[in-house]
Amino acid sequence: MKKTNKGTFVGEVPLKWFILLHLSLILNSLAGTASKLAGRQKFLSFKFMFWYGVMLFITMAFAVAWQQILKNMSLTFAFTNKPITIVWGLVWGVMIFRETLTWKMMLGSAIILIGIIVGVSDVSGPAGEKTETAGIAADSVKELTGQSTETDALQEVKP
Amino acid sequence: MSVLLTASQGSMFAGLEKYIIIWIISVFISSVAQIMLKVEANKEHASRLKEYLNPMVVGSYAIFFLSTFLTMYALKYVPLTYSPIIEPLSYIFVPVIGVLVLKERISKRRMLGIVIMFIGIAVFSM
Repeated sequence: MKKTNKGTFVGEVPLKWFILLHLSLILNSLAGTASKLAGRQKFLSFKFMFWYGVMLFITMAFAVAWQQILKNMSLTFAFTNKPITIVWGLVWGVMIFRETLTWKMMLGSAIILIGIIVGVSDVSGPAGEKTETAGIAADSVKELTGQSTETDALQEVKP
Repeated sequence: MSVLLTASQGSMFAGLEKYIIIWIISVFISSVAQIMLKVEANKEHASRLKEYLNPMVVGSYAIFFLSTFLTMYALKYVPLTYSPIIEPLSYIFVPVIGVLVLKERISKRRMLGIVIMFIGIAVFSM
Protein backbone atom coordinates (compact mmCIF):
# COMPACT_ATOMS: atom_id res chain seq x y z
CA MET A 1 0.00 0.00 0.00
CA LYS A 2 1.30 3.46 -0.76
CA LYS A 3 0.21 7.05 -0.57
CA THR A 4 0.54 9.24 -3.64
CA ASN A 5 -0.73 12.71 -4.40
CA LYS A 6 -3.66 10.94 -6.12
CA GLY A 7 -4.64 9.01 -2.96
CA THR A 8 -3.78 5.63 -1.45
CA PHE A 9 -3.11 2.77 -3.88
CA VAL A 10 -2.71 -0.99 -3.64
CA GLY A 11 -0.59 -1.89 -6.66
CA GLU A 12 -2.19 0.03 -9.54
CA VAL A 13 -5.63 0.19 -7.89
CA PRO A 14 -7.08 2.89 -5.58
CA LEU A 15 -7.61 1.58 -2.03
CA LYS A 16 -11.38 2.11 -2.31
CA TRP A 17 -11.64 -0.20 -5.34
CA PHE A 18 -9.28 -2.73 -3.75
CA ILE A 19 -11.63 -2.94 -0.73
CA LEU A 20 -14.69 -3.19 -3.00
CA LEU A 21 -12.94 -5.97 -4.98
CA HIS A 22 -12.42 -7.93 -1.76
CA LEU A 23 -15.98 -7.35 -0.53
CA SER A 24 -17.25 -8.69 -3.86
CA LEU A 25 -14.97 -11.73 -3.58
CA ILE A 26 -16.38 -12.42 -0.08
CA LEU A 27 -19.85 -12.21 -1.67
CA ASN A 28 -18.70 -14.63 -4.37
CA SER A 29 -17.52 -17.14 -1.75
CA LEU A 30 -20.86 -16.82 0.08
CA ALA A 31 -22.71 -17.85 -3.10
CA GLY A 32 -20.89 -21.20 -2.86
CA THR A 33 -21.94 -21.50 0.78
CA ALA A 34 -25.61 -20.81 -0.06
CA SER A 35 -25.43 -23.35 -2.87
CA LYS A 36 -24.02 -25.92 -0.44
CA LEU A 37 -26.78 -25.13 2.09
CA ALA A 38 -29.35 -25.67 -0.69
CA GLY A 39 -27.70 -28.96 -1.63
CA ARG A 40 -28.21 -30.26 1.92
CA GLN A 41 -32.00 -29.75 1.78
CA LYS A 42 -34.64 -31.96 0.20
CA PHE A 43 -34.88 -31.05 -3.49
CA LEU A 44 -37.63 -28.44 -4.10
CA SER A 45 -38.52 -28.20 -0.38
CA PHE A 46 -39.09 -24.74 1.12
CA LYS A 47 -35.59 -24.65 2.64
CA PHE A 48 -34.09 -25.74 -0.68
CA MET A 49 -35.94 -22.96 -2.55
CA PHE A 50 -34.89 -20.45 0.12
CA TRP A 51 -31.15 -21.19 -0.07
CA TYR A 52 -31.27 -21.56 -3.85
CA GLY A 53 -32.92 -18.11 -3.97
CA VAL A 54 -30.23 -16.71 -1.65
CA MET A 55 -27.57 -18.19 -3.95
CA LEU A 56 -29.19 -16.65 -7.05
CA PHE A 57 -29.51 -13.28 -5.30
CA ILE A 58 -25.87 -13.27 -4.18
CA THR A 59 -24.73 -14.33 -7.66
CA MET A 60 -26.67 -11.47 -9.26
CA ALA A 61 -25.39 -8.94 -6.70
CA PHE A 62 -21.86 -10.17 -7.42
CA ALA A 63 -22.42 -9.86 -11.18
CA VAL A 64 -23.55 -6.24 -10.78
CA ALA A 65 -20.57 -5.41 -8.54
CA TRP A 66 -18.04 -7.28 -10.70
CA GLN A 67 -18.79 -5.20 -13.81
CA GLN A 68 -18.12 -1.98 -11.85
CA ILE A 69 -14.93 -3.48 -10.42
CA LEU A 70 -13.67 -4.44 -13.88
CA LYS A 71 -14.16 -0.82 -14.96
CA ASN A 72 -11.64 0.22 -12.33
CA MET A 73 -8.82 -2.30 -12.64
CA SER A 74 -7.16 -4.73 -15.02
CA LEU A 75 -8.63 -8.22 -15.24
CA THR A 76 -5.25 -9.73 -14.33
CA PHE A 77 -5.17 -7.63 -11.12
CA ALA A 78 -8.70 -8.72 -10.19
CA PHE A 79 -7.90 -12.37 -10.95
CA THR A 80 -4.68 -12.28 -8.94
CA ASN A 81 -6.90 -11.57 -5.89
CA LYS A 82 -9.55 -14.16 -6.73
CA PRO A 83 -7.95 -17.23 -5.06
CA ILE A 84 -8.78 -15.57 -1.73
CA THR A 85 -12.24 -17.11 -2.28
CA ILE A 86 -10.60 -20.49 -1.50
CA VAL A 87 -9.57 -19.14 1.92
CA TRP A 88 -13.04 -17.64 2.53
CA GLY A 89 -14.59 -20.98 1.50
CA LEU A 90 -12.47 -22.59 4.20
CA VAL A 91 -13.59 -20.01 6.79
CA TRP A 92 -17.29 -20.57 5.99
CA GLY A 93 -16.73 -24.35 5.87
CA VAL A 94 -15.33 -24.32 9.41
CA MET A 95 -17.80 -21.75 10.80
CA ILE A 96 -21.03 -22.95 9.19
CA PHE A 97 -20.47 -26.60 8.30
CA ARG A 98 -18.05 -27.44 11.13
CA GLU A 99 -15.69 -28.92 8.58
CA THR A 100 -12.37 -30.10 9.93
CA LEU A 101 -9.40 -27.88 9.35
CA THR A 102 -6.18 -29.67 8.45
CA TRP A 103 -2.69 -28.20 8.74
CA LYS A 104 -2.32 -28.58 4.95
CA MET A 105 -5.36 -26.35 4.44
CA MET A 106 -3.96 -23.75 6.83
CA LEU A 107 -0.50 -23.88 5.26
CA GLY A 108 -2.01 -23.78 1.74
CA SER A 109 -4.16 -20.77 2.70
CA ALA A 110 -1.11 -18.96 4.10
CA ILE A 111 0.84 -19.63 0.88
CA ILE A 112 -2.14 -18.46 -1.26
CA LEU A 113 -2.27 -15.23 0.79
CA ILE A 114 1.49 -14.69 0.32
CA GLY A 115 0.98 -15.26 -3.43
CA ILE A 116 -1.76 -12.62 -3.52
CA ILE A 117 0.33 -10.10 -1.56
CA VAL A 118 3.29 -10.68 -3.87
CA GLY A 119 1.07 -10.58 -7.00
CA VAL A 120 -0.72 -7.33 -6.18
CA SER A 121 2.17 -5.40 -4.63
CA ASP A 122 3.74 -2.83 -6.85
CA VAL A 123 5.96 0.14 -6.15
CA SER A 124 4.46 2.15 -8.99
CA GLY A 125 1.41 4.32 -8.39
CA PRO A 126 -1.18 5.37 -10.95
CA ALA A 127 0.19 5.55 -14.50
CA GLY A 128 3.56 4.20 -13.40
CA GLU A 129 4.18 7.12 -11.04
CA LYS A 130 7.00 6.33 -8.63
CA THR A 131 6.51 6.95 -4.94
CA GLU A 132 8.86 7.14 -2.00
CA THR A 133 6.73 5.08 0.34
CA ALA A 134 6.73 1.56 -1.09
CA GLY A 135 4.56 -0.87 0.84
CA ILE A 136 5.65 -3.59 3.22
CA ALA A 137 4.53 -6.21 0.70
CA ALA A 138 6.74 -4.73 -2.01
CA ASP A 139 9.68 -4.68 0.41
CA SER A 140 9.11 -8.30 1.33
CA VAL A 141 9.16 -9.17 -2.38
CA LYS A 142 12.55 -7.52 -2.67
CA GLU A 143 13.72 -9.75 0.15
CA LEU A 144 12.16 -12.81 -1.46
CA THR A 145 13.51 -12.25 -4.94
CA GLY A 146 16.65 -10.44 -3.89
CA GLN A 147 16.16 -7.96 -6.75
CA SER A 148 15.05 -4.40 -7.11
CA THR A 149 11.40 -4.16 -7.98
CA GLU A 150 11.63 -0.91 -9.90
CA THR A 151 12.21 -2.52 -13.28
CA ASP A 152 9.09 -4.67 -12.83
CA ALA A 153 7.06 -1.69 -11.77
CA LEU A 154 8.00 0.22 -14.88
CA GLN A 155 6.87 -2.67 -17.08
CA GLU A 156 3.40 -2.45 -15.63
CA VAL A 157 0.93 -0.75 -17.96
CA LYS A 158 -2.43 0.52 -16.80
CA PRO A 159 -5.54 -0.70 -18.62
CA MET B 1 -3.81 -28.91 -22.42
CA SER B 2 -1.47 -30.84 -24.71
CA VAL B 3 0.40 -32.06 -21.63
CA LEU B 4 -2.85 -33.46 -20.24
CA LEU B 5 -3.72 -35.02 -23.58
CA THR B 6 -0.35 -36.72 -23.76
CA ALA B 7 -0.64 -37.87 -20.15
CA SER B 8 -4.13 -39.18 -20.79
CA GLN B 9 -2.76 -41.69 -23.30
CA GLY B 10 -1.38 -43.59 -20.33
CA SER B 11 -3.60 -45.25 -17.77
CA MET B 12 -3.53 -42.24 -15.40
CA PHE B 13 -7.04 -41.05 -16.27
CA ALA B 14 -8.58 -44.50 -16.82
CA GLY B 15 -10.89 -43.65 -19.73
CA LEU B 16 -11.99 -40.34 -18.29
CA GLU B 17 -10.10 -38.27 -20.88
CA LYS B 18 -13.24 -37.20 -22.76
CA TYR B 19 -14.96 -35.92 -19.60
CA ILE B 20 -11.83 -34.26 -18.26
CA ILE B 21 -11.50 -32.42 -21.59
CA ILE B 22 -15.18 -31.35 -21.35
CA TRP B 23 -14.46 -29.99 -17.84
CA ILE B 24 -11.36 -28.14 -19.10
CA ILE B 25 -13.44 -26.70 -21.99
CA SER B 26 -15.97 -25.56 -19.37
CA VAL B 27 -13.24 -23.74 -17.40
CA PHE B 28 -11.84 -22.33 -20.65
CA ILE B 29 -15.13 -20.89 -21.93
CA SER B 30 -15.73 -19.32 -18.48
CA SER B 31 -12.33 -17.67 -18.77
CA VAL B 32 -13.27 -16.38 -22.23
CA ALA B 33 -16.52 -15.01 -20.72
CA GLN B 34 -14.44 -13.13 -18.11
CA ILE B 35 -12.48 -11.52 -20.94
CA MET B 36 -15.77 -10.58 -22.65
CA LEU B 37 -16.93 -8.87 -19.43
CA LYS B 38 -13.69 -6.91 -19.27
CA VAL B 39 -13.88 -5.93 -22.97
CA GLU B 40 -17.31 -4.43 -22.28
CA ALA B 41 -16.17 -2.83 -18.99
CA ASN B 42 -13.46 -1.00 -20.95
CA LYS B 43 -16.10 0.68 -23.16
CA GLU B 44 -18.07 3.86 -22.48
CA HIS B 45 -21.82 3.36 -22.11
CA ALA B 46 -24.72 5.78 -22.47
CA SER B 47 -26.30 4.60 -19.22
CA ARG B 48 -25.60 2.33 -16.25
CA LEU B 49 -28.25 -0.10 -17.55
CA LYS B 50 -26.46 -0.43 -20.89
CA GLU B 51 -23.32 -1.48 -19.03
CA TYR B 52 -25.21 -4.69 -18.26
CA LEU B 53 -27.80 -5.08 -21.00
CA ASN B 54 -25.57 -5.56 -24.00
CA PRO B 55 -24.72 -8.65 -26.10
CA MET B 56 -21.24 -9.13 -24.55
CA VAL B 57 -22.33 -9.10 -20.89
CA VAL B 58 -25.52 -11.09 -21.48
CA GLY B 59 -23.52 -13.49 -23.69
CA SER B 60 -20.89 -13.88 -20.93
CA TYR B 61 -23.50 -14.91 -18.39
CA ALA B 62 -25.05 -17.31 -20.93
CA ILE B 63 -21.58 -18.88 -21.24
CA PHE B 64 -21.22 -19.10 -17.41
CA PHE B 65 -24.62 -20.81 -17.33
CA LEU B 66 -23.62 -23.27 -20.08
CA SER B 67 -20.33 -23.90 -18.28
CA THR B 68 -22.12 -25.01 -15.08
CA PHE B 69 -23.94 -27.67 -17.16
CA LEU B 70 -20.73 -28.83 -18.83
CA THR B 71 -19.04 -29.12 -15.41
CA MET B 72 -22.00 -31.02 -13.97
CA TYR B 73 -21.94 -33.38 -16.99
CA ALA B 74 -18.20 -33.98 -16.55
CA LEU B 75 -18.70 -34.52 -12.80
CA LYS B 76 -21.06 -37.40 -13.53
CA TYR B 77 -17.96 -39.36 -14.56
CA VAL B 78 -14.93 -37.54 -13.18
CA PRO B 79 -14.38 -37.65 -9.40
CA LEU B 80 -14.75 -34.31 -7.60
CA THR B 81 -11.22 -34.82 -6.26
CA TYR B 82 -9.98 -33.67 -9.69
CA SER B 83 -11.51 -30.25 -9.00
CA PRO B 84 -8.41 -28.69 -7.35
CA ILE B 85 -6.42 -29.63 -10.48
CA ILE B 86 -8.92 -28.50 -13.13
CA GLU B 87 -10.70 -25.44 -11.64
CA PRO B 88 -7.50 -23.41 -10.93
CA LEU B 89 -6.70 -23.61 -14.67
CA SER B 90 -8.77 -20.39 -14.90
CA TYR B 91 -5.92 -18.62 -13.04
CA ILE B 92 -3.74 -19.52 -16.04
CA PHE B 93 -6.33 -19.08 -18.81
CA VAL B 94 -7.54 -15.62 -17.73
CA PRO B 95 -4.11 -13.89 -17.48
CA VAL B 96 -2.89 -15.57 -20.70
CA ILE B 97 -5.98 -14.57 -22.72
CA GLY B 98 -5.92 -11.19 -20.94
CA VAL B 99 -2.39 -10.56 -22.21
CA LEU B 100 -3.20 -11.81 -25.73
CA VAL B 101 -6.61 -10.18 -26.23
CA LEU B 102 -6.78 -7.22 -23.83
CA LYS B 103 -3.07 -6.40 -24.17
CA GLU B 104 -2.83 -6.22 -20.37
CA ARG B 105 0.72 -6.63 -19.15
CA ILE B 106 1.83 -8.83 -16.29
CA SER B 107 4.92 -7.84 -14.33
CA LYS B 108 7.42 -10.49 -13.28
CA ARG B 109 6.26 -9.93 -9.71
CA ARG B 110 2.64 -10.70 -10.57
CA MET B 111 3.74 -13.89 -12.35
CA LEU B 112 5.71 -14.85 -9.24
CA GLY B 113 2.57 -14.21 -7.15
CA ILE B 114 0.52 -16.50 -9.42
CA VAL B 115 3.17 -19.25 -9.16
CA ILE B 116 3.14 -18.94 -5.32
CA MET B 117 -0.69 -19.15 -5.37
CA PHE B 118 -0.52 -22.39 -7.37
CA ILE B 119 1.86 -23.85 -4.78
CA GLY B 120 -0.65 -22.77 -2.11
CA ILE B 121 -3.59 -24.38 -3.96
CA ALA B 122 -1.52 -27.60 -4.38
CA VAL B 123 -0.66 -27.70 -0.65
CA PHE B 124 -4.30 -26.87 0.26
CA SER B 125 -5.69 -29.78 -1.75
CA MET B 126 -2.96 -32.36 -0.99
